[in-house]
Amino acid sequence: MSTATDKELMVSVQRGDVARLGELFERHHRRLYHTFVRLVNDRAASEDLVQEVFVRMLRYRDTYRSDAEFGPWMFTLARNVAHDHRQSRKRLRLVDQEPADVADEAPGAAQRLEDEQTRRRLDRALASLPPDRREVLSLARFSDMPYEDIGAIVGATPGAVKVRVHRALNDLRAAYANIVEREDRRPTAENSHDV
Amino acid sequence: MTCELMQERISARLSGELDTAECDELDRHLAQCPACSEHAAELERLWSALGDEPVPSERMRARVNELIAREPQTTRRPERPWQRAAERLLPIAATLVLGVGLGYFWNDGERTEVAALRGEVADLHAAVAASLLGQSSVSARLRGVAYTRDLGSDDDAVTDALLHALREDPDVNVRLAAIEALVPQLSHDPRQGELVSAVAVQSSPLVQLSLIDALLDSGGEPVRRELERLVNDPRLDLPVRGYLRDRLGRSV
Repeated sequence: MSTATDKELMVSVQRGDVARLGELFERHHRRLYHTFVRLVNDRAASEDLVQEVFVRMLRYRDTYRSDAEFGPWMFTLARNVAHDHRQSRKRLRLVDQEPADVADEAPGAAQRLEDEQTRRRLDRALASLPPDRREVLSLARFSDMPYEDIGAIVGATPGAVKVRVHRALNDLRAAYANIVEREDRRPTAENSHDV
Repeated sequence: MTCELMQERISARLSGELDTAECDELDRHLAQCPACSEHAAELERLWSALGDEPVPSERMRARVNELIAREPQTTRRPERPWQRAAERLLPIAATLVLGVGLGYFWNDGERTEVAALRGEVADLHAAVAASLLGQSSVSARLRGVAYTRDLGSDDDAVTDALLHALREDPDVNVRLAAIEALVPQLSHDPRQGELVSAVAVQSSPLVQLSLIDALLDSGGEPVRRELERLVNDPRLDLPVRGYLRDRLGRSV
């Protein structure tokens, strides 16, 4: 992996050295993937969406300004990709689904049952948040960007981002606690629903 | 300091937005306030769990590498306005050629040449469709799919280009548009089986579900039998298989 900055890599891509997009992919695909998982609640679709971000990086490479930070530009593309995904789901009249990868059938999967359960509960708690709070929370958690840059992406002041993140975390905490309480009251029912 | 302000700081610290002095002040408060301390511990657990995700599959890396490999390693110029105009004008030009040619040959009674001209125009349509579907821009490829749908052509070359888009296009929206164009075109056609086989190779459940819906809504018994074989195909995710089983049950 080179020591070039993200900006330098993107400028190289702009000038035609497309192979350097691979380095940007290696650096950022995980946080993009995690952001999408939290935004759209669908792990398989999130992989497609990460790929779409890199397709758009190529398509819109001329719009990248070398004096601008790379992260906010990339997450602006990602935000648009997530928006388009939601629109296409609406067109297909698909409602939000449970995460696609339910419990693994492979041997040894039982050991991960507790992690899976936490993840499913967290997915449901996140899905209950208003979209703008879920978005700002996902960006705060995974983008490694300051509130100022997040605010520039979502069209809000850093102060407003701070308030939204705080409220989103508190809402998430309350929603998660409710789910845990409800499910712990009827553990057998949960098993029959989750598989 | 109120607990409310300190709880705001707990959230800000998780996002890395707190300076050292504010952090110290928060720590002093947490040391003497059990309620805020418990609140902080819960938020930290949630924050950590949010990041506790499996890594994405290697398939995604392979697809992006393929995308990079397909892109020419040369300086790319932005799309010029005339290129877009040419894309729009090509179908019009093809229609004009057909009209003028038909008039000319019809008057001369040269019906065989009219047939030949029709064939050439069909080839031209197929070439325009293939050219649009091969563009790097997603919007151009979507225009390509719309163009083939408007043509209503049953030309094999156009069908091939659409099937290729359905199987290989990196963009979900292009693949979904290709389904809309292909399913009516291949209704009651032997090549409908190729659509069924495309279900299993799709990486996106969204595309798989759309394809299943479209096939069951427009296909006959042979398609249904082929889809039944996919119910136990391990290449399909469990929820997709469940959906297919449910749809097959409902469309009996």
